[in-house]
Amino acid sequence: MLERQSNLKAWFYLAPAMALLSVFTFYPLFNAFFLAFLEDFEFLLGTASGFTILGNFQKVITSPNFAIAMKNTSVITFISVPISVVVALLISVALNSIKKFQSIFQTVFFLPYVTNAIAIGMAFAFIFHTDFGLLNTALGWIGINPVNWIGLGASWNTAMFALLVYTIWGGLAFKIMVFLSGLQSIDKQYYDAARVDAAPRRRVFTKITVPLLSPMIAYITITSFIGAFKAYRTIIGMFGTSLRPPGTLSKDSLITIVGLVYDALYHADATGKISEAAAASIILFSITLTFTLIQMQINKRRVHF
Amino acid sequence: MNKKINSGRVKVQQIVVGILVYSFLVLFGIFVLIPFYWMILTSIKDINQIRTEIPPSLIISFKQIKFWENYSAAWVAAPYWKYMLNTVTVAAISTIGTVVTTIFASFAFARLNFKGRDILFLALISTMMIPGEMFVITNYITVANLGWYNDSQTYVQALLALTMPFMTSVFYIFFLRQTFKQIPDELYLAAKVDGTSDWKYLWRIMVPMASPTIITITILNAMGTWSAYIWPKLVTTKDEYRLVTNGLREAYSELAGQVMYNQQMAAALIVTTPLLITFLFLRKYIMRGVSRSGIKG
Amino acid sequence: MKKVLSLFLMGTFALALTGCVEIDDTPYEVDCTEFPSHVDCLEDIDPDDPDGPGLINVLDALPTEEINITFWHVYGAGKNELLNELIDEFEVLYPNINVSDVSQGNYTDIRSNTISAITAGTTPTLVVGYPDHVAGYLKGNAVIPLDDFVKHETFGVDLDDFFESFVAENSQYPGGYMYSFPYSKSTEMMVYNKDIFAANGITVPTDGSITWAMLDTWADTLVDPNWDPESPTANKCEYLINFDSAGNYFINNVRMWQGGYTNAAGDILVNNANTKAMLEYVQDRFEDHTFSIPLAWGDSYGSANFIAQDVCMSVGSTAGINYNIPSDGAFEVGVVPVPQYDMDHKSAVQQGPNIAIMSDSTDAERLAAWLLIKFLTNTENTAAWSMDTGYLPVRQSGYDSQDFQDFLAISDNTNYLYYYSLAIQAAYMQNSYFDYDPAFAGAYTSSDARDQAGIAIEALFGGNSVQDIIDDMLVQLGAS
Repeated sequence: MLERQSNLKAWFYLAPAMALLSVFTFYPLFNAFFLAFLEDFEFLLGTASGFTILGNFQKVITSPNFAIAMKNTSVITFISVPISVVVALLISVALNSIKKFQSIFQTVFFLPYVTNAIAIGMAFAFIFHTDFGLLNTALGWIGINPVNWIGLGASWNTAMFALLVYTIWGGLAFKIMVFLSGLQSIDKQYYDAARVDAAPRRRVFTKITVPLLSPMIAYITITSFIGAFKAYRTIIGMFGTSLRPPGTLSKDSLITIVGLVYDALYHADATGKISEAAAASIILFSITLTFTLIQMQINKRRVHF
Repeated sequence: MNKKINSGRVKVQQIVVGILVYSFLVLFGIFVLIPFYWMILTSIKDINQIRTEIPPSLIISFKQIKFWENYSAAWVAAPYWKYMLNTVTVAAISTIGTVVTTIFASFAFARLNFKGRDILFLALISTMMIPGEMFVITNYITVANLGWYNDSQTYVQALLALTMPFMTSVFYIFFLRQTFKQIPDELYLAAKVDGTSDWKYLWRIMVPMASPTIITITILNAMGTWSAYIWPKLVTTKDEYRLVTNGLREAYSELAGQVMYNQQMAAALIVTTPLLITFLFLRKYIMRGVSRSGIKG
Repeated sequence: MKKVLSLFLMGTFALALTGCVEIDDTPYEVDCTEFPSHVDCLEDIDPDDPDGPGLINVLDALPTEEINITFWHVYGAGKNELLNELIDEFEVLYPNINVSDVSQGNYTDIRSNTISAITAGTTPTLVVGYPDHVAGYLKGNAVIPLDDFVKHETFGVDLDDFFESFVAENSQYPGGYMYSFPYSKSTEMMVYNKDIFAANGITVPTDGSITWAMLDTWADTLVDPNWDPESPTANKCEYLINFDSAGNYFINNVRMWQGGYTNAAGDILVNNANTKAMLEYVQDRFEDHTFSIPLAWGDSYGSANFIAQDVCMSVGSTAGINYNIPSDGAFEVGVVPVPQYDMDHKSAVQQGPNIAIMSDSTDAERLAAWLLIKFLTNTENTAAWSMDTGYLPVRQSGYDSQDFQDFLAISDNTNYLYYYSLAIQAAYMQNSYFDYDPAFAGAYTSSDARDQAGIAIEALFGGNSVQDIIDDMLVQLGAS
């Protein structure tokens, strides 16, 4: 280790953050956990009839949309995260390597951040429109017939595809900003040395950039997975509160676990609903935590700290 | 002779790679830009054009532009000056708070060795795995119990309620910790040998080296305040304490009939401008690479 | 560290246990001294007492000291000018009452903010909301019944002056008491393209006697089965009639067909022959383009397509009438009551938010709040609110007032109030058969049922089978 243990000093540095987190993060979190084990909790009155260990979890798992929500959450997470991380990494490295127009490109890739959510929704509706959408127009050039992506009665498959494109788009700006700032912290000496050795670009990328950027890659991957497990707003943005392509039944719904949480929270005035929201959150938490621990285990071997 | 041919080939190769890199960036740049372009386009179209045009046109002729009409109507739809002033105040307080607490905590996690560090860090990360909405009601009750929310709420109380829960962030602590971890250990050991204190080392070496990340955190955090909506509405008792996104949403929450998309986009662009200016101003600091030779001594 | 952490955890648990939640395994019993207005405490109450049932204490006179009340509503900046004016007038009338009014965004926002406020003990004095919101607040004993105010000899109002359906809607809570008061009410009306009908020699009855059978005959003439959006056929339409709100459409159709929807207990009654027959009938009309919903054009309202003359008639909210008027005067618009399946079971949707008074308030605040409600809904102000917003006056005297009659008599179609006036006349013709959804709160609320009803109509339009739709609705509303 770097130094002998310095507990007191460490807590001095941690104190401001920990004090705030205790009040506004840990306390509400424990509160939420606690609610999941109350039976027939009346949120508006603050009364419950007793404790239950599994009752609220059982309610969540047997609720009609649980299986669909699990499926959607997994698909969104395991497809969108790897693609968006790789694409963002490539864009950042490309952006970092150019000299001309660098500032313009950097601004362009930042703009999604300041784009109004309604405009984003409208633009994607246009991209995926069956009759005159950009995507179907482009497909037409290569002789593919128009696809009903998100229109009336669209299938789960095409709607999910559109949602994934939207999700990946939505995550790019943040990831690029993080990678760019991470790339700045890499010592230029490494690249100078590589240039002297006339190392090919791909080698520079895999042997210098990726390893030295690995803390940022680890950060982005872990937080992106956590974020994707919590996907919900993107679905509202694309499909509205019905969470599905118009004119379809709930088997084609794109609801996620957080969708279930929202749904239960919305009914917080009903008996026990807030406990169901808490239980659904704990289920999500357990899945995410397990997955994150596995990732950290893998990272421990790969990440060049 | 041989060397000349070689350098010629390298040059050709460089040009080809250059073309590929730029094409790649342009392609994704367009993909990323479409919605923003859409926003600008909608903000200068006539509402009837937006409603009846099928398909919507991607170009607008100079004659059709309704810039002045839309932007002036949007500007008077809500007291944006007041809202923006509030937002800047809240963003400044919470960003300064976040940056300071984040720097301290990240330093502890990245550089100091203390008992339970890894468990505590994992505990912090795991708080991100709970949907944020689960925190809202408890925090609201906390804020009310602290006396910051009441019928005769003052501006200071409103500011406390708006900023205190956002004076630190696990998300950014994790981010900055990773940046600090990128800084080679030898620097720290060398500083130790020189007898530099942790405090000095943090401010003289780590913070300057991590400045691109700190600037990024500043921008991201300010943007968070800009788009905050649910919390500001919940913890303020008067319209005049609210933030820009509240103003935006409320000016355009149509109860019956259609939304004036053009004015709404115009309003969105108006309130976004300060953010864009901030970004353009800080942008160069993100891209200013720090070379180690520069901070020696 | 693990030990420390688990200790911390247990400590917090214990804290949460003692701090927030009361655990009581005996069946829940209301503390009637604390919540005298709770349903379970109403035994000693005389609901028929002409002076009011005695549920709450009404002060004999408004105290003279300063009274501060807060009013949460949904009328954001730019839309609340008239409301602010009315509040200013009210404050002049009662100089010791200060009203601070705050917009909470949309109906979803105001509901969730109020629920949060109830749990934190920070509720406003007055809140605007739908009946199912109020039914939810009532579970936390957070709203008070207004009957004692209504019947009070000094501060009361004459309920007979209020439209019957509005009073009934606001009395549908446990015990039949009024836990909310009618405020911004609207209904649906139908616009039609006069030019197209005239060109085809069809006369549209304006007295509310249009039936679905007539729509079928008109569709034979007016709907072009080979409609080409690129070159629309003159004096024909792609669809005959559009219905803006799929939820209203389902609910209103069920009533006209004597089918089942929901009841006040929250039972879901859609799985019955009449409801299914109605859905089958509607699906046939979707297929032959007699009926349509905005989804046909990927939209949420049909007004753009009505203006573009893709559809000959369109049913929508009275408050949205002006969106259906072509700004270039391309054709003339008529406004009539909503078509009925048959004349024996007429029904028109009555909707829009009401006002409630929260129970976490003093007697003085409650009285001040009631005086504000009374002021906002008095003859003059309900008429003014109606003319400004397209909502309906909530009382007959408002409708009969001179100002309002002048407004209804506007005949100049360049006056922007002209179409509002037509819409309200059409609405008024329907007032004898206004109907409202029974409000219920619980694991599923009446607004969930309404959402599912809308989804059902859209799924019907999307070609799903009636049985699949009904089954899905039952599953989603926890009724299977």
